[in-house]
Amino acid sequence: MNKVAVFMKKVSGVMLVAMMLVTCLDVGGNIFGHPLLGSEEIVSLLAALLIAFTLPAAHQERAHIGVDMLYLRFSPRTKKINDSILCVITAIFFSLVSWECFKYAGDLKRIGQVTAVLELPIYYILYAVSAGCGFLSLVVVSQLLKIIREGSHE
Amino acid sequence: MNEFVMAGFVGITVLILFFFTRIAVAYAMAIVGFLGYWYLTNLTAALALLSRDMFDVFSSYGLALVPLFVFMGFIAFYSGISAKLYDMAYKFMGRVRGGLAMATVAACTAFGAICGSTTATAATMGTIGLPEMRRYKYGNRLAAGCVASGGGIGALMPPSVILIIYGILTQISIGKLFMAGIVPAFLIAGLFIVAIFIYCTIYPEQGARGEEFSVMERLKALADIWETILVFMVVMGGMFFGVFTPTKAGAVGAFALLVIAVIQKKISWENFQRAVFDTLKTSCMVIMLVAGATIFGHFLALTRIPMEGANLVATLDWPSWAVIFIICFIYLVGGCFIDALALITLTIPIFYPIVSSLGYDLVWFGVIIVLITQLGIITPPVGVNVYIVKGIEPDIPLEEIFIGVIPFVIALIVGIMIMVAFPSIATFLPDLVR
Amino acid sequence: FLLSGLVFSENVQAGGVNLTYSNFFPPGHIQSVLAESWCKEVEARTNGEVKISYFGGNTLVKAAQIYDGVVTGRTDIGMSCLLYTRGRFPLMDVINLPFGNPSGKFATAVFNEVYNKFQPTELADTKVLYLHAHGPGLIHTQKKNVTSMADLKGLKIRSTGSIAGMIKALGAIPVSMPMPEVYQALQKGVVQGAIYPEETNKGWKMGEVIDYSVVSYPTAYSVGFFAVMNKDKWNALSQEARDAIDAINMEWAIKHGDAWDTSDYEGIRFSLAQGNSMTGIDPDEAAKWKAALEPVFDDYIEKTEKRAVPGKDALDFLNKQLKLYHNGEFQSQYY
Ligand code: NA
Ligand code: NA
Repeated sequence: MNKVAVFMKKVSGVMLVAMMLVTCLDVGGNIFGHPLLGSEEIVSLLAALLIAFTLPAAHQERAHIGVDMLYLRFSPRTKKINDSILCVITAIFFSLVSWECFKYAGDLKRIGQVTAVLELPIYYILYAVSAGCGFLSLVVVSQLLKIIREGSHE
Repeated sequence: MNEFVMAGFVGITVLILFFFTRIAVAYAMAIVGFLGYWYLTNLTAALALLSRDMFDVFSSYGLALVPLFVFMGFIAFYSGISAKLYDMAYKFMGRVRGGLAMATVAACTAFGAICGSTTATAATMGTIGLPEMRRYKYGNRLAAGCVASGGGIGALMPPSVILIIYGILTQISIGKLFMAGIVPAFLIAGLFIVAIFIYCTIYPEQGARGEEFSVMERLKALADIWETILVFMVVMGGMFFGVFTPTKAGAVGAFALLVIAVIQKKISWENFQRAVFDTLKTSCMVIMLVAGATIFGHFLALTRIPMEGANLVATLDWPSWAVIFIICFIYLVGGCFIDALALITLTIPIFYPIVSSLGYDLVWFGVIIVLITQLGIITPPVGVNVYIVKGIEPDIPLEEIFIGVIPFVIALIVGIMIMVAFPSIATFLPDLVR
Repeated sequence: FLLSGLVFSENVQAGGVNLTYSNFFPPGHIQSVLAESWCKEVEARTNGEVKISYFGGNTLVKAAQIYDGVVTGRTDIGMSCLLYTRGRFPLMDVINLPFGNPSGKFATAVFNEVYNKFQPTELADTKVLYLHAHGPGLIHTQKKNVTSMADLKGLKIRSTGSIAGMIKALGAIPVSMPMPEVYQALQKGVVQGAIYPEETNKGWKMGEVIDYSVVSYPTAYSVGFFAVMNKDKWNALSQEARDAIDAINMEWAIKHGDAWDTSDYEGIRFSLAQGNSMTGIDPDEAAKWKAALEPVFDDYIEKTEKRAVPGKDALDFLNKQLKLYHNGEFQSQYY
């Protein structure tokens, strides 16, 4: 599980560097009268890939912040119940998002929708977003199993 | 009672309660927004809302600048460039209580002239400024509060997306609005600095006074940061002379800093990887937050609460100052729950004829609205900039940050009062050009 | 007290159906005002059977998502632009070609006629209420006036989507960027021009930052817009309501077309008041531009052929109507 999350994060890292380079190529080319037409589209699609593939690792590393004022006053037992319920909700939620993105990708493929300038197909990216959200819900499920076994994670 | 409005209030209540389970704020907004949309329409529509909004935010070009600016910040941090920057600021401003916080506010103002997004400003200045201020033993409250609040200055400083949308909705010249924002932006920066000074006089431990440095030491520190000055000049110059748009400045800045760091062998492969991974983590946090707020915002839009509230004000037969006060109050409360741009598009069409008929200047009103939405991004329960700062330095408790922004909230309110008393602060510059 | 006001505000819901309408045009824009007045008209002429909540300016569903939003039911009715979802409307894309658009009134009428004649499957998953299309799309520049193709060479011109192909064919450099950034980009000289209808000079305040309009009507393009409704919601309406709405649609299509032309006049007036100038191009030069744009039309035909859509027929139909228009013989129920 961890290995996959780390691998996905590495892919995202490559996307980040690519986003930077594509924009710089566009700016550099622009100075010499040859801007990279549609660089915005490439950057937007790379950004979507970047975020989608970072989702599982970001969740594992607790990047998303929550309000802990009340939580810190919970008893260990309450914490365990609270966290288990949250894991169930989150896992169901991101499975839904993943499934919907998968269906949406199919729709866009069928319709033939592409980006405005470069006419790049969008559905590939949506499959990636679907994979990112799907793997995120797997990560949450494994967290749930751990909580049930060992109690709440701090 | 209108079923839709009722559903909206229930949604807001559920969201606030949901927050206390320590669920990720971003997830909570998305889940409650999804359930609310489901209740008001049907499951197919609500599921479509999820996937479309999520993808729309992930692939938004306007938000793609967040990872790029944040990357610039982390390269500066891991190559030691930001440390040198703050060493320099310390040598010049360290004598003054809270001097580094003041320098951070100045940096936020300068950054606001590059970047049109308050979210990106807070994320970038957070990655650069927070660790450095803590290194110099600044209190968490002051350090976090000033980064979270300083990000908002960029909304007044052109370029500003909010002012562009306001101009289109009200048919006011965008050039005029941009000019109207400049002086108030400096006014707010000035008030923030005054707030820091007063705060540090009351709580000296938050921004400890440093030692005095000689002129030579200061000049040497200045010479030490020549690469930063160079990058800043490249980025500002490139924008000023029209080589690239502000959106592209982040990529150019990150690339330029990286080249300098590599040439000077200041960044190792390990630190480069750290910069990349920290950027991913911060960007994912920021963009998920925006995605959650977008989904929840679409639910609130469907309930029509913003429009119904605005319509209600339109029927009030009150003295003009009271109407303006109520409108400001609505933006303040609304800004707590819904994205500033969406709130403005939903309500300005109803409000601006009222404001205009009361005899107020619409350019001035635009600046006031931006000021108030700046308050919204740092006040609970949905203070996006506060959450961003918390995400960057997770060990600072959320309460500490919300307490830390109080002096800046007061400064903003004072700023709004000054602008109400002397509207010409906003209007004299655009009037001059006419 | 605000809360209590909201609680007691009356909501007329007696028996009828409540619909939502999402428009990408911002409130205050004449095209948004018209759509809102369409809602009022529908409410009045269906005798309260239909009530509509109107959302302007991307507040409920964003521009590029509006068609999909109507299909999936996120909104019941929607108005947006065909260009934002490239590839989704291969046949109807014909209106976005530089066919020599003479006016919004003509473009709107002919666009609806194209739809009626070809009944494209690409729009079959919604109920099309009506279509409309803006007036002549022209190049606007800064500092340098353009009277020939040679003047265009090397100029950076902001353009969206398929229009970029036209800019390239004319020898200029197409630059893409989101609409809210264009004002600033022109001001700073990131681009030296942009392509849009005169209307935008006032609507997006571009008149403040440009100096010249290149009035080349023979190569002017248009951009098509749709007003569509969710099919299930449409089928659930009574026959009387559907008939009433169909009658209103016919009237409103004409109103939208006329409004595009009125907005163009206002845009021209605004632009001239800013001290900008407008220059036409002479017929010989226009012929050169038309020849240079041939590949753009070929590309459209090729793409539609690939999708097994009668693009060539649609283009021929459009050109025939244009010819009739120039001879003063164009006839349409939308005109
Ligand atoms: Na700004
Ligand atoms: Na808030």
